[in-house]
Amino acid sequence: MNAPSKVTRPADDTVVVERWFMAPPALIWTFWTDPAHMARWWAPFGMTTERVQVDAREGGAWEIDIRGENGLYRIRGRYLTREKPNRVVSTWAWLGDDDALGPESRYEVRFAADGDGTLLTLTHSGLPFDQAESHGGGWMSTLDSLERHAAKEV
Amino acid sequence: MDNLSSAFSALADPTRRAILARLQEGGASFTELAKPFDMSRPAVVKHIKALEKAGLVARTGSDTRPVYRLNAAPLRGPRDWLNDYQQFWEGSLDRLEAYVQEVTGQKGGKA
Repeated sequence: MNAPSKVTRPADDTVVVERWFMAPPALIWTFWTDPAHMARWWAPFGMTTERVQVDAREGGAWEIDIRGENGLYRIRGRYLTREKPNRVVSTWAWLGDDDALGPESRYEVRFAADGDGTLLTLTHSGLPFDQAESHGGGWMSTLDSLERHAAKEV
Repeated sequence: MDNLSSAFSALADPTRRAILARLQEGGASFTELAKPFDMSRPAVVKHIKALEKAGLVARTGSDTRPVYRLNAAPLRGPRDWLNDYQQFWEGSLDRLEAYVQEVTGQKGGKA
């Protein structure tokens, strides 16, 4: 069974993905938070999770390196909330090839008991365009003007 | 995802944003680009290379006298950026679903 995701975009900087799993919330929570399990699924198909490191405390940092066709993707985050077995909130940022950390966004994932399984709701918010404001405004104005430039060019 | 991570890490640096802002006014030589910055030539080269790698800057002209130009093609609208994240998460959740089936589908398997 491959239940499709339900995807919504409640704001310009937010993606919400819902997916139902045939397993109890406690198991999904473990898969989501235990590094040994994370390494088995975090990378999308076609990519490989090369490394997972987790400080499993609230405030603890996590690092995931994913190998894809076009190179290594490094994701860095910090757990803001870890409520077993129902909720994880974490920061999220890409680490660039030059070791510069990109802008920080945030995801919240909820695991709710639903029938025989679990409804997972993932909300990834603060995604690049809006969070530009928190980077001193320069980020947003650069993107704004570049977008205008692109519009002229294309 | 490729564009997402490389373009944003390229844009995360104030020097690189300043270089892009300069290139919005038109093509520039290396000397023109480097002029406003109080940094070594190799440091400026490194920033330009990062922008080239992200596909935000293109090089024209001769090898000895290159002219740098803004290439705005990789910069897309916010919906496209969200698409990248959506695809990433859906891909991961597909994988998680397969993993859940693998683990729970085994008789007597440990969870």
